[in-house]
Order: sequence, then structure tokens, then C-alpha cells
Amino acid sequence: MSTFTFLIIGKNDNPLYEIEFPITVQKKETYVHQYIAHGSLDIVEEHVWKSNNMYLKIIDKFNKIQISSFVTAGHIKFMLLHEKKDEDAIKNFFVEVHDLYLKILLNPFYEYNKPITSTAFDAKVRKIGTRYF
Amino acid sequence: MTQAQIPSSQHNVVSQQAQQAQQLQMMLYKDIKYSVNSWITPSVLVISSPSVSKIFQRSGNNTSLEQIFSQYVLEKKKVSIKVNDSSYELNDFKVNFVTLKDYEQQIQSQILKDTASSIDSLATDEYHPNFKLRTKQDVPYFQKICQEPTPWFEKYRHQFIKSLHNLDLETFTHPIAVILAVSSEDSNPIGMLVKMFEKPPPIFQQLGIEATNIPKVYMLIHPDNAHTESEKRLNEMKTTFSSSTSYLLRVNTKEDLCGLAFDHSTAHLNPLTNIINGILSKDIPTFFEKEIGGLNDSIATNKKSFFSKVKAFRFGGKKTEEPIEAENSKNSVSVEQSIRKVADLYFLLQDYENALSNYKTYAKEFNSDKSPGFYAAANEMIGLCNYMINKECESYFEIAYNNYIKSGLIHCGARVTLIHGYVMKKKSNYKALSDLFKTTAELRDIDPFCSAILWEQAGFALLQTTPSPLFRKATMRIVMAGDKYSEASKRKHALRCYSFSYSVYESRDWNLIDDHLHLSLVRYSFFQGHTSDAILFVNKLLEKNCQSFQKQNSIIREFLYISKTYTKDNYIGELPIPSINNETISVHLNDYSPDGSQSVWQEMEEAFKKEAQVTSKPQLQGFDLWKRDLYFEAEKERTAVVEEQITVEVEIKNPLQIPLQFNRVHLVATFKEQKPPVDPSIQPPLPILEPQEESNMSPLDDNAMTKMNNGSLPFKVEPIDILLLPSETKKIVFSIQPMKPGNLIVKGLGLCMCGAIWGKREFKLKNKRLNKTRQQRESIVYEPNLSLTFRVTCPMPRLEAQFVDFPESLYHGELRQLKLVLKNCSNKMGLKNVRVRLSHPTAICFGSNSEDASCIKKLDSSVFLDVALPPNATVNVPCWVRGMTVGRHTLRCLVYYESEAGNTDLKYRLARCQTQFDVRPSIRISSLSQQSSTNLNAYLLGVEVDNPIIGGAGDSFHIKQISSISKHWKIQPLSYSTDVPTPSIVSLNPGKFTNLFFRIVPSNGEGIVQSKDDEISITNISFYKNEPMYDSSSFPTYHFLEYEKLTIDQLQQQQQQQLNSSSGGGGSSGMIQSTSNSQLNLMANTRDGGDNSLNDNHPNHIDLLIYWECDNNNRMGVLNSSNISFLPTHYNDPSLAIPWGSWKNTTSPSGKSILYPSLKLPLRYQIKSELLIKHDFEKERLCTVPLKLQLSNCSFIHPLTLSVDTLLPHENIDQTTFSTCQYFWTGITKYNIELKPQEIMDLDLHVCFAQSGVFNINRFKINVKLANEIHKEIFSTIQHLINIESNN
Repeated sequence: MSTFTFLIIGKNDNPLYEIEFPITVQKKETYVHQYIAHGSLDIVEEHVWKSNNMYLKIIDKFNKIQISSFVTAGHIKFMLLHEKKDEDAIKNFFVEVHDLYLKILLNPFYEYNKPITSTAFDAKVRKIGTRYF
Repeated sequence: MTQAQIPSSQHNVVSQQAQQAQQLQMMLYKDIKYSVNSWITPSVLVISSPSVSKIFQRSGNNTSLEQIFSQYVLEKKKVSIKVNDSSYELNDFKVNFVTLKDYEQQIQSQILKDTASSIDSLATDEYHPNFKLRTKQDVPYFQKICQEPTPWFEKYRHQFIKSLHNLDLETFTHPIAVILAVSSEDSNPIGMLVKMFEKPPPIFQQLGIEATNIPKVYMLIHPDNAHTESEKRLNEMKTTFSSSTSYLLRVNTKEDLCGLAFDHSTAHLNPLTNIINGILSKDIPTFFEKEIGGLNDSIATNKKSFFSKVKAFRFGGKKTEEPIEAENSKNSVSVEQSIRKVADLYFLLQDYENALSNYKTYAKEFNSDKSPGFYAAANEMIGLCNYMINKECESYFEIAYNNYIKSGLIHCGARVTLIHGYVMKKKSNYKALSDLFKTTAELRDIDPFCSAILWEQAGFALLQTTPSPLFRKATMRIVMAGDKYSEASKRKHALRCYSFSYSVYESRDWNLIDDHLHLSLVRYSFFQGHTSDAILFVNKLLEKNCQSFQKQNSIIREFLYISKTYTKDNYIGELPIPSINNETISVHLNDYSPDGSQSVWQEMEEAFKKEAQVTSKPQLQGFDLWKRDLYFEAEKERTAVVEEQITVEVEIKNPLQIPLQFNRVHLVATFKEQKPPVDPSIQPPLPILEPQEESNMSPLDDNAMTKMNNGSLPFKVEPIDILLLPSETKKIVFSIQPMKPGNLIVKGLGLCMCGAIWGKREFKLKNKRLNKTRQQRESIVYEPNLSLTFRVTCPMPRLEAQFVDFPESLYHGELRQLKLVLKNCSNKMGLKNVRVRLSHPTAICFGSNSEDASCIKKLDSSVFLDVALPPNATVNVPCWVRGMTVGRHTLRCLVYYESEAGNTDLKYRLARCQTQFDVRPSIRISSLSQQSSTNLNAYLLGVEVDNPIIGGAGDSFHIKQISSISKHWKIQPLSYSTDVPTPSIVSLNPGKFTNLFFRIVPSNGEGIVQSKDDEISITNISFYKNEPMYDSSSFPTYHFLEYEKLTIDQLQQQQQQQLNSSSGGGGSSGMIQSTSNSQLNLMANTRDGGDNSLNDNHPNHIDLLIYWECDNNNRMGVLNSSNISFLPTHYNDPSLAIPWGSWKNTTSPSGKSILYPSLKLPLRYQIKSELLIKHDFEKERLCTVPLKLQLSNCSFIHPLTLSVDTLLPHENIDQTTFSTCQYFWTGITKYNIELKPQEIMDLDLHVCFAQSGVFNINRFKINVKLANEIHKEIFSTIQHLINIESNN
């Protein structure tokens, strides 16, 4: 079963949020995924100015893992590491998470570019994630 | 020649040359052609008899014949070879000398390992010192400062290409000549030579080498100590073989390399030069000619049949022809191999065109599905040939790579990658290069070191990409390289990779990456001996505490294991855990017990310091003030005494989720003996040695424990075992006992972590930041914290103090006797000069009677106790305690003492003791004073006593006695004349009030006399006739009264100061509300009058002592009502008098009024006349009555200037009354007089009445000139009624 790793990365290359789908009880500590996501930021930086869309599609590959990205207006990067190619689902997922992210951003207690600790956000992302992946 | 024989200058030259040579070599490595050529070099096989190798081994340096040979081909050799029609001039012809051993199938992993270790010397800890890559902008800078981050790569590539032969696929290793060597020591050298190559070695068969064409050279090694005739043997050889291929080599066994060392200058004389040159110029060219010719012929003859076979194979049915095919392939291998051999030979001759065409033919013989290995090798060579003649080669390399991988020849694939990468790099195609290297590095079975090198190169290639460097990907690749390096256990390389990449991820909260990098960095920092770095990373690793406890457990385990393995003596230095809460560290010397209220103690200690004149703060004035910083007293270290424990309280915390055990946790300290004071005038006969610093920063194992207990350390510590549960915080008291005088600095805690590794945790105490000088402002400098620094001085006596019989609760005013027990704990030294300072100095009076009382004259001074304490002595000091103020009190007592022996470092010591007690309210006293209207020298005193406890719980109090103490006054009972009425009026049950009145009269009967300054008059009035009276003038009641007065004075001063400061601050609006009107005016006057001399200096006050007894336990006490003032009152002027009849609450537990009315106008007056006058108005119209106005100046010092004016009837003295009076004054109506102090003057006045009636004679005014030129008019408000009766 293929896994999906979703990360939100801030302006400073700092991760704001991270989750893996499907949500298994045992969380594998795969630091390689973090390395891959971090490395792909280079490519995101290249692509972000070439496109008008927030959704950048698959921008990078690392062996079997493909990396899709979505960049918000505030240059917060959503990265999804996946093995299966399913652009529609990924795009919808990104758009929905973006809505959630905007709501978080409206929260006066949330500081921009800081880790997202809201449990409500987490629960909703999980819900969306299980719907698409 | 050995190095020792070389003079140093020459040595330098030599080393310089060596360096240059090395640099040159490194330059060569950069060129792939050089590497390819050293891979593709013809070989000459050397076969020698065992005795030959023995000779060379014996002669030293473990050399062998082939090694000596290879020295002779280092130089460029020109060789001309003619093959068929074309001739080749090779300028730089090289051969490898190999032995049969080299053909033995070597284990590939061993070759790779050797290759890897060949570049160990070039490995570095970091790419560039102190460089941190954090953002993209740092990349160009890095490229500028560090142009060649991986200098070892080229060498590795060279070694890798050179040494990785695949004997199945290539023929470069096939020998092109054979040297056969025997020694003349062998019994039958000729026969041996014959035998040696009678049948070619099995390897020839194995590799399909045709031995017939290979030229053979026969060599006889003749050591100089051999006896046999060498010349004869040579001739024999020449006849047996051929004269042109037989050589004799004389060797000198005594010299290094048997005297055959290659020397450029003498090369032409050396016999070996000739031999080698002969082989190169004669034998090898002939071989090439013959071999190529022969091979071409065999190919040509086989071609036809070969092609037909191929056709048959291609178009024929697969299944049916399989056996034939197998047979064919066996046959065709040799044909294909000949093509390959020809191609390789052409390649060796650097005829790339011919080689290329042959390789192409060769490649056609294979296809990628059937035999990918051969196909790949062919394509690799095609690519190489193309590269050599500068043609497109990359596609061939790609084919070669893919097919090598297919056939499982991973390392050949890696070689292709390296060559291909070089080509790509030359074209600046970095992205493709990086991907290629990455793909290769990820191959499953690749040598980890090779993989690491490739990862690393892939990373650096990404840094070169344009337009923007992909630095994040690059660092990831370098991390991967680090992982691979660690797999290959190349720790230096691994550490470099991790630490370079770390800066990109640092403090960006990538939790898993951080864990991975931190853990790796901890490991490799340890391995490389950077223990402090390792500790730093352990701290970072555990800082976030975000790992699971299992992981933390394994981290700790690994940390313990690594540190135990890699540290000396099991001592690691600073440990990462437990964490110490530095703010809570508190130090206690033996004198004190821990106490929360340090500030109270400190205040008292400071006072003693001042008293002992230990500190000398300069008094600063004027211009000195602006540089007062210079006079600030530097904080001094504390003084500890030898053999007395110092305790340090520390809060330690386990930051992890796993329990941690720490054994033998103890304080670590450094100790330095004090330098003896150096007298500058006397030259010391011997230079004084700097005292050695001693510390216990080493494992406190059993050895160290016994050593410490034996007293060989200058201090002792007490180890404690601690178990900290996950996230637990513990407060632990550690102790240290200095054994010698000197300087002791407590550094931190030493501990054994989990029973495995010893280390320490240092205390980090901060002090305030210094900010005085420019230098301090620019940098961050902190004041040194001396709280853990101690000066240990020689033994001092130690005193323990304790109160005995101290009551738990007292009534307000109650007196109790008790004892202060002082014990000298030292058994060697006595102590003297005992002084006591109390937090409530007025609560305790030391002494048992008036004679031995030790009292203070000022509240901030200490009580001197006249006791001497010899060693081990105990002294009881009697004392009295009195309940001063209602409430709960903690009485702190600080005892000062000095050693009898004296100690320059520690002039005095202090002992503390403390006790708690309650003071409960007893009775309250209010007093009222007023001038007597009948006597100018008498006053009225009212005393109201009440028992304020309402409810059943209170005790009954009985007033036993009232005493007054005053200089000039005494009291007389007024409520009753001679005898006390029923005692019930002085028994106060709860809630009961009683009023007593007294008259205050001068004590000597006739006015007050100033001369009796020292005497006091004491009046005792007892309410119980038959009982003995208390002596108010004696100990301790009198002293307590004095204390109370001191307290009041102090409070008064404080209030005054407060007042001054607040009024100076502009506006005292807040105060107006809180103070009563009269007081305010009084105060206002005080301020207005520049001369305060009129105030407070009047004799008109009295102290009142009221003794009470209580039913409960026969307790007794005394309440003091001190300084009751009785003053002339001038009712119409509020600024001069207090309101009439106000009770002054003097002993109320809450809020004493401290401000006393002061004497503003020491004037009393009184009109004296007959009060009843019978007059016959019909006889005489007017009745004239003589009056006497008696004026008295109550002051001791001030004369009064005043004028007395009578008022006319119509003049209103009061604006509110409009009635006119019915009398008028006659005679003298105005006096101007001056009253001397204490003078009483009578003025004659006459008043006329026109009718009968009762008249109030008050129509006069007194104009007093006050000291400050202010005139005050006083109107009489006292009624003086004269009754004029008509006689009719």
C-alpha cells in the first residue's frame, strides 16, 4: 500500500505541519521523507515563478516517490510525497487543506509561519486525507 | 640512504620536492586520460624462483624484483613500433611489471577496500573551516573560498579505474613479455629456467593467452657473495636460450635494493637500464608486430565461417539449435576474443581509430540481452576511443552503464559512471552528472565507500547548477554520503558530511532530520575525539524531548556505550544530563540553617560588618559622586572554616522520559592553597612556588574514595546515589568539607551516569552584566559570581546559640525571664567578644538585675555580652522578654564572636538562632492630659484602661500599680483622696473600662527647678495596699521603658523623614486625609518655623507605667505610656493647641499615634480675684474690682515677650457673638512685659461693673511674639466668673 506524506513548510524552510497517510497506529520514523521534502523545496522555488497556479503538480521525483506541491499566496508550501499518480485527488486535497489553512491563518492566536498545533486542523486534515488517499 | 643522514637543509629541499611531486601527481589525477592510461597499460610478467625473492627480501625493505623494475619505467620512454604498414612512435610508453600472484582472482571487495584506504590521508574533518551553509546566498561564497572541497575524489577515481580490472572482459592485463629470473644460488639455474616456462602457467590457459608470441627474457641474478662462476652460467644460458635474451644481473646484497636503486644520473651505467631498454625497444615491438599480424590473420580466416554461424544463430529456430549454439559460442569466443585482443593492442598503441573499428566489430558480436557484460565492455571501449579522439561518447557510456548493471557488474558500471561523469563535468552538465552519480550510488550491491564518494560528488555537482544552486538537494545528498561513509566506517568523512549539512537543517525544527543528524554527529564527534561537540549534540538531541522513550533509551544506551569506549579513564567531562536549575542553587555555610527570610539576616550581618569595621565604604560627597562607580565595593568571596561543612542545595531535573540513575553524585571543586603573603621588602631566599591547583574532576571510584578519606585531597565530599524518575525534579543537598586553608571553588556536580560513565555537570551561575567601561559595553561581560568561591581559613571556634524557656505566647506588656544558652562547640579554641543583635531589639533585655544588665543605647547597636567561652564551655545568659507589639513574631538572634586566637582572614563569626512567639492583646490604656484651671503649675491626667477582649475567652486583668516617671513631676490620685477605693474598680474583666484621674504636680512641691537634671522622680501608686510594690526604676521595667521610648523616637524620626520627603515632593494631599487637623497644623508649624528650638524641649511630660497581673498563671506585665505631654492649651487657636479633652490612645495594639503635641507657646495665664463681691450700687455707681492676671512661662529656656491688652466692651472678641459685655476695664489696660523662663508674673488689672450679675472676665487679649517674629493674639476662653451682688 502506497503511503502519502503531507507537509506544510514555512518560509524559513521550517516544517509547520506533518502527517502521513494512511494513518497507521505505528508511525514509522522515516527521516528520509523529510529529507526528500526538504530537498524538493529547491525545485519548488524554481517552479513557483513559472506558473500562475498555486498547484504546481508533480515537481520532483526521488526514486519511486513523487512530490507534488502547492504554494499559498504567503509562500507557505504544501508538499505531498506520494507513489501513486492521481492528480485530481491530490489537487482537491490541496485545495481543501488550503481552505483549512486560511481558516487557521485567520485565527488571531495563530502566528504566521509558526507550527500548526491546532487539533481541530489536524482532525480535519485527517478526514480529508482519508477521503482522498 | 636513511633520512637521518640527510642534513636538515637538504631535507627541506627533499621534502619540498616531494611536495611538488605530489602536487604534480594530483594534477595528473585530474585528467581522466591519465587514469585511463594507467588502467590500460601493457603488463610484463615477472616469474622468479623462490631464492630470487629471498635475496631481495633479505637485502631490505621487503622489495621484490618487479618493484625494482618498475622504477626504470617511470621516466618517459620512447618506443617505436611497426605494425603492418603503419609505424607508431609512442613517446610515453609504460609497462606494468606483474607477477603470477597478480593474476590470481582477487576478491573484489578487498580491492575496493584498498582503493578506499588509499585516500585516507587526504580525508579532512570539514570542507572549509568555520563555514556554515544556511541559505542559497551562502553557496557562491562557499565556492569562492573552497574551490576544491573534495580533493580526494580524483585520486580515488584514478585508483578505482586503475585497479578495477575485469579479466574476463578485457585483455589489457595479458602479458606482452615475460621475464624469467633465477638466482645463481639455485642448484640448477638453467634447468630451472627451462622448466619455468616449459609449460605456460595455468593462468594463460584460463584467460586464453597465446604464449607462443610472447617474448621471454632470461635472467640470472648473481649475488656478490655467491661462489659459483657467474660468467660460466651466463654462457650456458646463452647457449641454451638465445644470447640476446639472456642476462646476468649482479647484485650487491649489502646495499639497499641490492644496489639497484634507480638513480637518474647513474642510470646509463646501471646494467638494469640496458636490460629494460632492451625489452622495451626490441622485444615488445616485435611482439606487437607478430601478435597483431597473427591475430588479424586468424580473424580473417575465421570470418566467413563465423558470419555464417551468426546468421544461422539469428535466423534459425532457437530451441533446436541450442546445443549447436553452445558449441559455436565456445568456438566463437576465441574469435571474438581475438578481435578484442587486437582492439586492445591497438588501444595500447594509442591507435584509437583502428581500435575503434575493431571494438565496433567486436560489439556487433554481442547483443545486450544475451551477454550484456561483453556488450557493455565493448561499448565502454568504443566510448573511450571516441573520447580519445574527441568524438561523441556519452551515448556509448550510457549503453555500457545500463548493460553493466544488467549483467550485475556493478563496479564496472561505477567505473563507467566515473568516466562519464568526467565528460559531463567538462561539459558543465551538472544536473545530469548529479543524477547519474546518485543513481549509481543507490545501486544495491555497490561498495559503500564508492557509493559515498558518488553521493558526495552528486551533492557538490548540485551546488554548481545554474541558474540557482539546488543547495537543499545537495545537502541531502551529502547526508546520504555521510550515511554511506559511516557504512564504510570512514568516520572522518562521515563527520564532515554530517556537519556540513547540519547547518542547513539547524534550528528549523525538522524533528526527524534533527534526530538523525544529531545522533550521527554525536557518534562521529565522539569517534573523532571532539567530545565537547558530541556533548553539545547530545544536548541538542535531548533538548526537545520529543522522541519516544524507547528511542531515548537507545540514545542513552548508545551514548553510554560510545563514551565508555572512546573516553580516557571513563571520564567524559561535561555530561548532557541531568539538567540543573542554576537559579535555585543555594549555599550554606555551617553557621546557618537554611532560612527563607535571608534579607533579615543579611541586614543584621551587614550591621555587624560595619561594627567590626570589616568594610570601609568611603563617604562620598560633591564631585566624587559622579564617579562613585569606582568606589563600589567588589563582592568578596565567602569565608569558610577548615573542617566545617559547606552545603550546597541544588535542584536537578531529569529532562527525559526514561528514569535515570546517577551514582555517587558529589560536588566537584578546585582547591588552591593560598600563596603566603609576600613581603616586598624582603627578598625571598627561594622563589615561591605557585601553589598547585587540585581538583576532584575525575571519577570518584573506590580508589578515589579511599584516597579522599585518607585525607590526601584538600577537601572531602559526600557522594549520594540518585534515581530520577522521568521528568522528575529533586532538590538535593550536597556537602563539601575543606581540610586545608586555601581557596576552594565549587564547580559543579560529579557523577557516574547509570553506573557506566563518569562526568560532571558544571554550575553556571550568572551575575549581573557589567556595563561600566566601553569594553564591557561592547562585549558581553558578566561580573564573576563568587557565591561558590570560598576562602578556607584556619580553624575557628564555633558557637551555637539557643533560647531556653522562651514562652510561646505573651500578653502585651508581659514580662518573662528566660535564658540564652551559648555553647562553644570547638574543643580547641575559646571565643570572646560576644555580641548579640536581634531582629526585635526592644523585646529582650539581657541581664538578671540592674547591675549586670547589658543594654543598648541605640536601636541599631548590638548588645555586648560580657562572657568568655573557653573550649567546650556552655554559658547561660539570663534575659527578660516583654511582649512589645501584638502579633506573631519571629525573633532572630545573631550572635557575633571572635576567636581568642585571632584570625586575620575571618575576624569574627556569627551564629544564628531564632524562635517564634505570639503577643496577644492584654489591656489598653488611653490618657488625657489637661491644664489645671486652678493652679498654674498643675495639670490633670486622666487614664482610661480597658480590657478589649469581648467574649468569654479573655482573661481578667488587675491593675496592681501605677507609676509615673518624670524629671520634674509627680502624680497624685485625684479620683480619691487618701485610700484606694474598692479594688473592684481596678479589676478589668473582659470588655470593662475604668477611668482613673490624677493631678500632675511639680515633684518638689514648689514649681520646677531646672538644676535637678539627672534625678528622676518616681511616684508609685499601688492599688493593693498590702502587697509589695514593683520598683519602676529598676531592671528590667525601666530598661524596657527606655527601649520603648527609643522605638517611638525612631518611628517619629521615620515619620518626620517621610513627611519631609513627601512634602518636598510637592503636595501632601494624601496625607491631609489621614492625619487629623490639629496634627497637620502642628506639623505645618514645625515646618514653617525655621527654628525648632521651641518644640519638644519642654519639661512637661511624664511616663506612666501600669502594672497588671493576670489571673491566668499569675502572669504579670507592665504597660508603658511614655511621654505623656501636658501643655498649656489655647483653645481659640488650633495651631497652638490640641483639641480639648481628646484621649490619646497610647497602648492600643493597632496604630499608635506617635506624633506628640509639642509645646508651641509655653504660656499659661490665670485670672485671680474674689469671686463674690457685694457692692452697693446705689452708694457707688461703679464697682471696681482689682484683678490679678497671673502669667507663667512654662519654658525652661525661652523668654516670652508679650503684651497684654484689655478689650473695650464693644469690641467683639468673637465674630459669632454679637452681644456686648457689661463691664469695662480701668486703670492700666496695657502691659508690655517679658517673661523669663519659668517666671510667674502677676499683673494688676481693674475691672468696673455698673450693675450686679455674673460676669465672665475674659475680655483681654495677649499678644505673644513667637520666636519667628510672628505675633499671635490669644483671647481667653476660660470662664472666670465674678458674681457681683447688689447689697440691696
